[in-house]
Amino acid sequence: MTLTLAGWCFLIAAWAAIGGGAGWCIASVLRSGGLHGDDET
Amino acid sequence: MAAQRERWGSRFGLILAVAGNAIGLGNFLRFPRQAALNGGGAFMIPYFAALLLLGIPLMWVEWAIGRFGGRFGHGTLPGMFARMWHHPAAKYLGALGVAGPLCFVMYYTVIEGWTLAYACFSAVKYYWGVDTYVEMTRFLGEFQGKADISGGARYFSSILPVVGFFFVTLGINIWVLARGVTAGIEKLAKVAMPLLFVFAAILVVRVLFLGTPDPAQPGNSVAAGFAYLWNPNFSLLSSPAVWLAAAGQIFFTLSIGNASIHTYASYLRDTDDVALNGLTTSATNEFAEVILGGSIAIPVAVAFFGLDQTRAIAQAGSFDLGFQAMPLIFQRMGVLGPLWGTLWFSLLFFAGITSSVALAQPVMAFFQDEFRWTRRRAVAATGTLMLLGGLPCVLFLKHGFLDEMDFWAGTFILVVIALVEVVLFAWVFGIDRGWAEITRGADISLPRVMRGVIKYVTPTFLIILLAAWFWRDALPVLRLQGRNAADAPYLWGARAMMLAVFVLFTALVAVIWRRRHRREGLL
Repeated sequence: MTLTLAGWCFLIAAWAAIGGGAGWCIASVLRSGGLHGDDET
Repeated sequence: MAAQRERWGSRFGLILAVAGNAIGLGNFLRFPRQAALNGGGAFMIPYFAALLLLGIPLMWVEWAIGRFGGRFGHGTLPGMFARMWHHPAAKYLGALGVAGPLCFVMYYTVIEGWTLAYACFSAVKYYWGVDTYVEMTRFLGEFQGKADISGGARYFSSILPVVGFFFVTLGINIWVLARGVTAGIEKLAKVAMPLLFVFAAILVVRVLFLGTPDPAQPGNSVAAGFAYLWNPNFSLLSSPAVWLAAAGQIFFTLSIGNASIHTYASYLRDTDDVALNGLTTSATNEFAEVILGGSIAIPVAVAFFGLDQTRAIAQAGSFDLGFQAMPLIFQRMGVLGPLWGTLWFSLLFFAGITSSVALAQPVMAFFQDEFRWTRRRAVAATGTLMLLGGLPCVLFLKHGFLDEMDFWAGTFILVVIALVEVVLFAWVFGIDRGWAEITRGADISLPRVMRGVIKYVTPTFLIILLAAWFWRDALPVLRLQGRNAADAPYLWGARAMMLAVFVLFTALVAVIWRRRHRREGLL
């Protein structure tokens, strides 16, 4: 049994969506800083 | 009142703690099994639909309710619901949100103890030499106290080891809870979550380079494992069971409906973001589940056992995969086998403990916020309840006590709580006020279409899910269909215990509100 073209498509699409989504979220968190009204550095 | 409550020390710690709450054993054991059995790659279609229409909206709702409740000094659902719905019944509905996670954590700590035990067993090669699936089943059965050892024990002659690991796990949980939100839960998350990701990443890389472990069996390969997991079977998409499985998986994986997110969010300040934080914790959890969780257990099982046996193991259950198949595989992974085994079970332990402290925290918060108990007194009461409820799960495991609790407290009640909270939030509290709560202080702008999703789609989805589960699963479970008659007293005992916990917290809610009514003239 090997990965079919459709299998590759689902694998890549899911990984890209989740990896990209997680990356975007973390970048947004880093950009917007800490908790509001917080004095964390 | 609210100013006296604890606060998160940092946003990084908060996100790791809530992600740690969501990332549990299910990410590494339940997801790959569900995906493999329910259409492979095609499973991702209902899975993503459920994530967008059920998971993320409920995540925002729970964060918003939690921060809203924290504004009034409430860290648990009785107080939060009472503020959202000015009706005497609201606070009693909220009691489910304290009793539910308590029942959940009672048995979850037991399972967490197994992961700790197997991490130790792997490190000292205790199960090395147990080299067939049947024998590994026996090993696990004797360790858990499930196997019949009247004819002689081969590996464990008593249940003392499993009880011991339960006590140790419970002790670690209590120690973390006793240190509080910042010094305990947040610090744990800052240590355990990076370790979990590092361990998982190391294992994924190792799995990817396994190739074909036995050249004599070229069909047994990691590539075949990924093919089993990802090649789509579109014909299964017409089955409602597959859509239910996807919705259920999203529910469990995001830790929705167990009232722990509310408690964690209650330690936020009023202007702190919930929209981006909620989305980030969901995304972190999905990364751990789909990318890391999907790349370890199933691919490695196919590489060593082949497709047919892996399919049989997956059908048998998540624990068969994690605690019976994986230890056999580690023994075949050469000189570093003990290391891979230790990493695997340690990451499961980290996934477990960051979830169990989250499940226990609502009970802690209830005692601290509503009874004004000190943390020390609250942790003593919470720990005692966890001990009293956990012991029968250990002692009566072979009679299905733990499974019974898992079904009701770890499955059914979650959907009930989620349905109640989304209806209260969108229809009683009102979607306008609710949306304002979600977007207050938001660091991202949210699409307004999500208002409609939260008001109409998510409740409808939940009603269908609840009705289908009740019809398909709850009724047979309620009637004890297919269960051994000798186990019936234990199963009813588990139900009686859960009911007693709910009655206890309902009564406590009544006592508190009566006191408050006398004191403040409010109800």
